[in-house]
Amino acid sequence: MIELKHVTKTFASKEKDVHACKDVSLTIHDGDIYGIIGFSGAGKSTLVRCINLLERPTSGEVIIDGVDITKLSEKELRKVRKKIGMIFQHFNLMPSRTVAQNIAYPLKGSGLSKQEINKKVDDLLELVDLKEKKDAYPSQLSGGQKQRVAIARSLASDPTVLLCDEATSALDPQTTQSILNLLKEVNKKLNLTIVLITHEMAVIKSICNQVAVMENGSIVEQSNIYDLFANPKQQVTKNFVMTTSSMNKLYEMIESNSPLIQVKENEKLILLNYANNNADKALISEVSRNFSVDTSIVFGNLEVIDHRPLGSLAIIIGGESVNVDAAIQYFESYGVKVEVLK
Amino acid sequence: MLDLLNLLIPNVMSNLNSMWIAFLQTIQMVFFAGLISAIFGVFFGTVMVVTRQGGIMECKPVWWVLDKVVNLFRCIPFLIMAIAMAPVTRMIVGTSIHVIGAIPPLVVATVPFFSRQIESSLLEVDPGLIEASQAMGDSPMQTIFRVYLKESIPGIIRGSSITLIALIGYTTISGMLGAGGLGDYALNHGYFRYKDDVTLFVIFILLLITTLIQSFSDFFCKKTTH
Ligand SMILES: Nc1ncnc2c1ncn2[C@@H]1O[C@H](COP(=O)(O)OP(=O)(O)OP(=O)(O)O)[C@@H](O)[C@H]1O
Ligand SMILES: [Mg+2]
Repeated sequence: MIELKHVTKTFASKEKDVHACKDVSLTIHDGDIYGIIGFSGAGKSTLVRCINLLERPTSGEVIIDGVDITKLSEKELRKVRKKIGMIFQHFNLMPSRTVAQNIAYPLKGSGLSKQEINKKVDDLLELVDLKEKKDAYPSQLSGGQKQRVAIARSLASDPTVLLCDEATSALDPQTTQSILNLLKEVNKKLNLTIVLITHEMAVIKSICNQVAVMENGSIVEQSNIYDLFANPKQQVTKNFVMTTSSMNKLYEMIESNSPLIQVKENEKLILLNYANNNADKALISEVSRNFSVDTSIVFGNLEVIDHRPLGSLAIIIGGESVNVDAAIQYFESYGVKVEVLK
Repeated sequence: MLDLLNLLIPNVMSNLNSMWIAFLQTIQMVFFAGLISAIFGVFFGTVMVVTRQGGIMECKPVWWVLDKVVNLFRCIPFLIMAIAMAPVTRMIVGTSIHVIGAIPPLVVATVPFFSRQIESSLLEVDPGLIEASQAMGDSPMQTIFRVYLKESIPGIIRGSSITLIALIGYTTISGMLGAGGLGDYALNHGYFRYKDDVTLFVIFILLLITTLIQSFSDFFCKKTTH
């Protein structure tokens, strides 16, 4: 378990101090894939570097498995660091060493014999699916392959935590997905806690189970992944959620008065926000039948997050206005949030 | 062949022995001064990198002093330094002439030069690698040896060859101050006796040595760059 308690980091400079992290407190449980999202300069990298003390907090505690590591000696700290893997946006592989030598790098002085190290390197290469590149140099690899090597290297000393600072930001979407799948796999297989920093909500959506949103050095919102998407509270969070949804198209259509969403008299354009398990009930057809209203779906965005459905549906509903209102109430009685757009 | 050489460089051929001795003296000066300078240069160059602001063993006073001392020594022309430090040289090795007397000033001139070469090579190491090394739990010493020095080998080779060539230049000045070697040979056997072929031949040898150093350097740079 990782606990940050009131972590503050201030960079002093001549003109003015930069408050990269302001009183950040959060708890990361074993086995979590914990995402921290924020715009550039929000302080994400600084925060994640505080977890292995590459950056020493100006104040606050960093407690890992009950031990406040800010109080440890340099030597003890190095021991802790060996149990915290880290991967980077630009991979940071040693260019003069082969893939195998890079992976074996953290094993020097670990007391393992040459054969044991070889075996371990082979196993890790197998895990990241790069056996045929064993003797290649980093310059001969693609970005995705380099990140795989970096992951293998970070796992070599059997860490319990893996810190990922924008680990997929230099990769194309497909490669990003394959790296995320690999991270998910090692999370399951090795029960590895993963702390992942990103500015892409899609990354968060595809692997995290807990999320913190960071803005100007502070955590402004923190929740499990589903609630964050279903119920974003802060404006930044809403904006981030928007980036992975196609719902902004709907708002564009409303703004430009698109013919697709023209409502006639006795009609209303409403937005249904589904959450949790009400998406599997045949609400729309039930409503048409029971309240003698006409419904037509004009826009939708449905997805499954953390094995739970989540979606928004824009429908045009028409009929006697009493019936329409009753239908809306019916939706709401099933926990569907209804927003009348027009 | 021999006839041709006798024709081209008669005054070298007539006294091959002194040419050979001069050559060996130069080699001796370069070898010993180079070896000692390499050790100190790597040491001071590395210290300047790790103690600077943001370095892995940040220590501003040490960096400041080293930086200034290196600058000071680099701005003194070699000839003047060799003369000025003659008393010190005599204290260290007992004499300020011969090959042995040339070594201390050569080292004092070469170390700052080589330190800067090492410094600039190490500064070229991607800071991301240093960060990765620290994140993996390396001690500062491990970071120095396993990342800074290991990852900048091509740069160190290049810096060494530049330094070596500069060092050969210094030895010719030492020659004028009684150390012997090719500089002394060109001056005393060539210039003062109006034997231009001797001087030209020395140039030829220096060209050969320089080309050789450059080729070795290129070869090893290539081999160590992946
Ligand atoms: N070593 C440093 N010295 C001074 N200021 C720093 C230092 N490192 C970071 N900062 C400042 O701290 C703030 C947060 O930086 P940080 O790198 O943590 O942001 P980030 O959220 O990771 O951004 P990005 O997405 O661009 O990587 C920025 O304003 C940055 O300029
Ligand atoms: Mg960053």
